Amino acid sequence: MNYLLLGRYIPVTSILHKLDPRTKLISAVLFIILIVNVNNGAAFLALWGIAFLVMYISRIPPRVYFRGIKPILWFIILTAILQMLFTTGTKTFFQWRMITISDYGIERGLFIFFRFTLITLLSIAVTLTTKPIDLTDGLSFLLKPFQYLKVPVNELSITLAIAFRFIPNLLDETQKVMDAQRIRGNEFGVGSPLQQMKALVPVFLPIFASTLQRSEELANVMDVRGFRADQKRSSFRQLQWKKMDTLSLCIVIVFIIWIRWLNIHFN
Amino acid sequence: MVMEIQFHNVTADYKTGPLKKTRALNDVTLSIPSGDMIAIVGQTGAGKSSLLKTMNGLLLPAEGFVAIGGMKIHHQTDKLTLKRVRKKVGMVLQFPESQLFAENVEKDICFGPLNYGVPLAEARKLARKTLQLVGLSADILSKSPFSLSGGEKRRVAIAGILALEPEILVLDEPGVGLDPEGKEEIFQLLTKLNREKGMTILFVTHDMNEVARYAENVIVMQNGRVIFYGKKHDLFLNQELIQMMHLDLPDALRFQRLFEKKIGKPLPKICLTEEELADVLIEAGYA
Ligand SMILES: Nc1ncnc2c1ncn2[C@@H]1O[C@H](COP(=O)(O)OP(=O)(O)OP(=O)(O)O)[C@@H](O)[C@H]1O
Ligand SMILES: [Mg+2]
Repeated sequence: MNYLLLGRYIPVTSILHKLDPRTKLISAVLFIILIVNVNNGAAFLALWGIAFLVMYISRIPPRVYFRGIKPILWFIILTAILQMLFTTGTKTFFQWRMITISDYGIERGLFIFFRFTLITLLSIAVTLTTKPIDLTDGLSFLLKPFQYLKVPVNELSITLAIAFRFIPNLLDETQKVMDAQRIRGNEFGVGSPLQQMKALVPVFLPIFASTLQRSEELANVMDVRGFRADQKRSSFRQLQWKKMDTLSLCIVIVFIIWIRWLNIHFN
Repeated sequence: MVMEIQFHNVTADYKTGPLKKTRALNDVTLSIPSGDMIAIVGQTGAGKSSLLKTMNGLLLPAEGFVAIGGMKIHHQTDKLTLKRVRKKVGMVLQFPESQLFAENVEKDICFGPLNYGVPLAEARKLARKTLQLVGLSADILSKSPFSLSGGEKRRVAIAGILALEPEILVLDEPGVGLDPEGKEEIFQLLTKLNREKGMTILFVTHDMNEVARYAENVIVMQNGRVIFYGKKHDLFLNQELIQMMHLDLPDALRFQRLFEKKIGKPLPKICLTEEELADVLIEAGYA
């Protein structure tokens, strides 16, 4: 049942694990912006190469990544197919009422598919190689400039930290409640989609209830101990920017420029 | 109906990550006769909960198999068989109140039977019956389960399992987190189910007084293995084992040992509960 990979950290030793979370976050964001804007085959090919390179240096087997895509695979495929069916192009292979399959549509569909999978793979790469707590530290550092726009960054980061902290608990609890309902003859993942959704109700309701209760308890405890999110505080963990990080960012930027070039050049 | 539970060299693992496994049961071979009342003890992480889960098919053996009344649970048992097993082996998880979800108690208790194809009218009857069995009044049938007290919630949750009319009932630390009275009531219920309905009952506990008072036999576990399975008297008399397993003695027996040390001679009988001890003390003329 441990299929939910986003937000899960796998502790092995690799260069990716050692990088500063900020490096990984900035690189991921840059790549995602790039991926959204890429629109030719050569550039996508290069991006796939980079995705496999990232998987390779993370020292986590690709099957772990692909298992992470699985839960949203149908969503991705559906989006891609819709693109394919409703886009007109120069060469039309099939037409019926609104539905057209054209060369351009197929290309668009494929690109959408690649975009989603690549973005998911990269996000998974970040979470698999970064401790949630480092991730929040990195995020709150990067969000700091937004303070001047009156964005409550401190509140946001503590909220995020707490959310990350409770992901494992939530997973454990989900597992437990699923077991409890399984004992009472509830079956998951069988029958029509409607039945499958219905089977989840007896899981989500108790979890909502206990999550609400837990957050109230947590809020009380934080109040009792005098916690104020809006105050300036120092941090026990310090992020350390190393030479390796500068170097990695440079490499990332070189890659990005290269792919931009591919994208323009082969159009 | 005979519902013997047999473990044949059962080994079970948890997937603890995409790459790692934790061994929970290690080569367990065990045969539990029908109608027994068994306590399972052992230190944290010994595999007690896992042992229960394999009987219910929540944790499938990686090697070996569990045989229950003609059904076999092994690493690729199909869903249908598992469902049949779960109907026979009712399992009450630790803190079972986390399974409550329906808008009222009646619907919550009916949830299990309905899943097993019991007609609604029948399920409703079962709800009333089991609620009475666990010692709650029928007034709460229409209440929200979330509005009940901790002890009531626990009993409603147990009623939800009993409504499946299982022949074997396994419970993971059923008394934990309840006040002494609530605990007592739960165990009275278990004793009644065992004596009157002949239900096989296995419960996990850390409290040796519960073992002394309510169990017939004891399973002691360590590192996923069954170290001891036998009469509770034999366990508590085996001081070496008790020490090795870091188990306590029941209060009565501890008192008896102390008393014997002070008076310099043993009492005529080993006592595991306060009642037995009081009788023996009177008989021996100390009161
Ligand atoms: N859901 C799970 N995922 C991964 N590992 C688990 C899980 N549940 C138990 N384990 C591991 O399996 C082993 C046996 O655990 P189990 O829960 O059966 O012990 P236990 O005897 O019930 O302990 P306790 O007295 O604390 O309840 C332990 O090493 C534990 O860490
Ligand atoms: Mg346990």
